[in-house]
Amino acid sequence: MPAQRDIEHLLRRTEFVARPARVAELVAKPTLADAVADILAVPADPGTATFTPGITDWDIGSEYARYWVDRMVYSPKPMQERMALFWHGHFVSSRSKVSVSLAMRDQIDLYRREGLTNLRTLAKKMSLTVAMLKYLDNNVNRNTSPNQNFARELMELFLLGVGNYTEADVESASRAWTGHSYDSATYTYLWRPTWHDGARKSFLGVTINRGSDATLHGPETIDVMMGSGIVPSTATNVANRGRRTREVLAEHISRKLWAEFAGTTAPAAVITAMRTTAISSNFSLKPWITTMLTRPEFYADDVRKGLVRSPIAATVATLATTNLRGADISLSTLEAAGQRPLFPPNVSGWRTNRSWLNAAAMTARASIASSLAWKTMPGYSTGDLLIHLAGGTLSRTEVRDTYRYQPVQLVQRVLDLMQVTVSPETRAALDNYATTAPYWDRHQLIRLVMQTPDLHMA
Amino acid sequence: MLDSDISTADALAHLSVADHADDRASLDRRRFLQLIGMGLGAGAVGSVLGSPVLDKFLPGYDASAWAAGPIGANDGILVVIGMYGGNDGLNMVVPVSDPNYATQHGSIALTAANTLPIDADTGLHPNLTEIKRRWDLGQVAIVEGLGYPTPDLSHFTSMANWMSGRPGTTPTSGWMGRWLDNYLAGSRDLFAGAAIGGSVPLTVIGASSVATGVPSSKPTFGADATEAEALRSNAIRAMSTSNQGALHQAVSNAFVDALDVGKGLAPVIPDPLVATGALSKSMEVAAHLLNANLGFRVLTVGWGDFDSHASQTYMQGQRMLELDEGVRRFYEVLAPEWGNRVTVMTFSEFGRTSWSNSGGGTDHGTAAPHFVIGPNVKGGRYGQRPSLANIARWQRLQHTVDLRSYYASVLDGWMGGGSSTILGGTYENLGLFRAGPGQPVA
Repeated sequence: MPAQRDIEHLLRRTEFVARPARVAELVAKPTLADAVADILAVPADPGTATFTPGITDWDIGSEYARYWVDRMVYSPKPMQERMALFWHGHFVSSRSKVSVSLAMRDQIDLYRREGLTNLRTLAKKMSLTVAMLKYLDNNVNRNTSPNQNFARELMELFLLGVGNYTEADVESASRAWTGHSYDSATYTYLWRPTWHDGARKSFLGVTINRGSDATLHGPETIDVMMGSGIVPSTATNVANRGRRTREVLAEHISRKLWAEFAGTTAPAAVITAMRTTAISSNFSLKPWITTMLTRPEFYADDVRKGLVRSPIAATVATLATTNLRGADISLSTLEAAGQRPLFPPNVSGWRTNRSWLNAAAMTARASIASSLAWKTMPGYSTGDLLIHLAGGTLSRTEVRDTYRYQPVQLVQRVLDLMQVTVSPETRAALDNYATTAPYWDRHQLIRLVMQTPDLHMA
Repeated sequence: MLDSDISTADALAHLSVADHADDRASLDRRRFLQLIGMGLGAGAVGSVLGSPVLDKFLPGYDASAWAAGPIGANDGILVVIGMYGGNDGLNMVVPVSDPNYATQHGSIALTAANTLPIDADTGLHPNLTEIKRRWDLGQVAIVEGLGYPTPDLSHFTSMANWMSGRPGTTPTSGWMGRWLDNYLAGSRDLFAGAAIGGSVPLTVIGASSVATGVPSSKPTFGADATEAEALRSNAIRAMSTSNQGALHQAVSNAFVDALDVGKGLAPVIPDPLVATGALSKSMEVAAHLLNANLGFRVLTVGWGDFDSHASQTYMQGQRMLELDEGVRRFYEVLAPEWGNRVTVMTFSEFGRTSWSNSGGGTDHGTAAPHFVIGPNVKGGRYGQRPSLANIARWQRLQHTVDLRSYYASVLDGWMGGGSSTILGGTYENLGLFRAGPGQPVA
C-alpha cells in the first residue's frame, strides 16, 4: 500500500488538495500506480456551465470562471480540471483579445474534456478553436498576406520550443495554416478555401501540403512535428540539430509538465523516461503523466517543498477548507493576485511558482482569505451562530465558551474542521495567537489559517 | 522572440515579474528602522518589539549601516513614466513648420494653430497645458529623436530594449534595477524603489534588487488599524521559518513584505485619493510616498494604451490629457521642499510611423521625443529632430539620440553617476540639469 505521505503529496499536486476521505481511499490501493490510475480515471464528459439567461458576454465569462473554479473544488475527479488549467496556461488564449466569452468557454471545455487524452488530437482541435484563431490572428492568415503569429507560437511555445526550427519553417507552417478562420457574425469556425495557400512546401525536412484535403494541410504540420520532422541543421539550438522533432517536442512538453506539477528543474532521467513513454504511446497523455507521477524523483524532498500554489490553486485550496462555492469568489481580487481565469497575461502563459510572490500579490491573497473567511460565518453574530467549514460547523458557543480556556484545542478543532495540516512553526504561531487574542475574537483563526504559508504551498 | 503582433499589454506583462521575496539573509534598513520605531511611526513598536522576527534578525546586525536614516538632502529622486503601446511623438511635440509632417500625418496632423507653441517650429499637443506651463517656467527638457540602433517593431522587443537600457541584448534586468543594485549593494530595502499601480516592470528589476509593487490606493492588509489586526499581523510574521524549505520561507516572507508595505504606506496614502484616472492616481500616490520621506529614490508608473493603429486623434488626445493631469496632480501633492529633489521623465517603447494609415491611425515606428520635467531641469530642446524628408510610406524615422545617452544624462546628472556601469558603455551626457538635487537654482 502506498505511504500516506506520498498520497497526500500526490493529491495536492493533482487534485489541488488532499482531503482526508480521498487520502484514505487512495492509501487503500495496492500500489502507488493504482492510486495514480484512479486520479487519472476521469469522465469523458465533465459537463459545462449553464448561464443566467440574458446576461452580457462579459458576465458569461465571469459565471464561467466561477463555475470552473467550483469544479476544481468539487469535481469528484479534480485532475480533469487541473489538467485543463495547465492547458489553459500552455495553449494560451485570453478573453482580453478574444473578446468572446463563449469562445473561451469552448476552448477551456475542450481542455477539460480532452486534456488527458492525446496531445496530437488535442493540439489539432485547439488550433481550430475560435478563441485560438482569433487570439493568434490565424483568422487573418491568408495566402496574399500570411500572418505568422499562430504558426510561430505553435512551434516556439506550444510544441517544439524556441530554436528548434528555422524562419523558413515558420513561413511554411504559416502558409499551411492559411484558410482556417471563423465567421465573425456567429463566432463559429469557417474554412475559407480561397484564402488557402495549397502549394507544396518543405517543413522541418518534410514535404507538406501533398494531400488533396486542403483543410488538413495546417494540422499536418503537427503530424510532422510529432512524426518524421527533423530539427534543421541551421536551427539555432545547436544541440538539437538533426534530431527527430518528435523527441524534442516530447521533451519540451515533459519539461513543462514537470515544472507545473513538480515545480523543480526536471532531472534528465525523468525527461528521458517521459519522452520515451510519450513517443511509445503515440503522445497519449495518461501513460505520459503516469510516468511522471510514479517516478521516485516526484516524491523527493526538493519536489515536496518545491511548489507555490498559483492564485487559482490557492483559492481552490481555500474554498476546500469551507462549505463555500465558486460563486463566492472575487475575480478582480484573483486578478490582483496575478491569475484570473480566462485572462492569461500573454501567449507564454503565467509565470509560475516563485514568480507569484510579491507584496502586492500577497496583499490580494490576504484579501481573498479575509473575504472567504467572512463568508463562512454569515450568521455568526445574529443568525445561526455558526462557522461553516469543510468538515462541519463550529459554533459561537464553542469558540467563546467551550474552548475559552483551551485556545490550543480550539486551534486543533479549527484545523480539523478546515481539513488542513500545518508546519510546527505555523502551528506555534496560531497557538500563540489564540492564546493572546481575546476569546471573543478567536473566530478570526479561520482567516489566519487561510493566510498561512502552508495553505499557499502545493 | 515573440511575434511583433503580440499586444502591448502582453508585452508589458511579459516584461513584468513578481518582486521575488528572496530568502533574506538579513533585515533591511527600512525594516530595521521600522522595528525600532525610527522609521515609520512609533505606534508599531509596541506590538513588534520582542517578537520572534526582531529576535531572529537583530544579532550580528551592524546598526551603523542604518544610521543615515531617510535619504540625504542631495539625493536625487526619479519618477519614470511609461507610455505603453508606442506614443506618436510627432503629435506630442509637433513639428508644425515641416510640410512633410502635414503631408505624411495627413488627416491626423495638427496645425500650428491647434498646438501650444514653444518655438517657431514646434508646438505641444493642445492637451498638454500643464507641461506647457512648466516649459514656460524653463523646467521642461524635450529630448528629440530618441531611439536605438537596429530598431525593432515588436512591442515586446522594443519595450525590452527601452526597459533594460541595453538594446540588442537578452533582457535580464532593467536600467534602474541595476541602479538599485548599486545603491543598495546587496542589502534589501522595500522602500528604496516602487512600482505603483500594477506589476513591477523590468525597468526596476535588478540582479539583486527589485522595486516593491505598491497599489495605487491605501493598503489595508498590514495597516494594523486596530489591536486585533496587529495581533493577526504578528501571528503571520511569526510563521516565517527556514525549517520548511526555501520556498515555504519565500511565501511567508512575501506575506511579511505585504504587511510591511501596508504598515509603512497606509499612514501616508489617503483614502480616497483625489485623483480618479489610472495615471493620476499613481502619480498622486507617488507624491505621497515622497512627502513621507520613506527612502524612495526611484518610482515607476505607467499606463496606456498608446497603440493607436486607428482613430488616433481621440485616443492619443485622451492619453495626452491623462499625462498632463498626472503631472499636474503629482506637483499639486508633492510638498514644495521636495520639488528640487525630484525629476520626472517619460519613455515609450517606440514612436509611430510618420505616415498615417487609412484608419486615421499610425503604425509601429521608431524614434520619438520625450520629456524630462523638474525645477532643476534646464528647460529646452535637446538632440536633433529626425528628418521627415524623403520618408516613404513604410519607412521609419532615423533616431538621433541613443536612449542610453538619455539614461546616462539622468543617471550622471541626477542620480549620482554610474552610467557607464549601468549602461555597459559611455554615452553622452546631454546636460539636462541646471543644478543637482537639492541645490537651489541660481
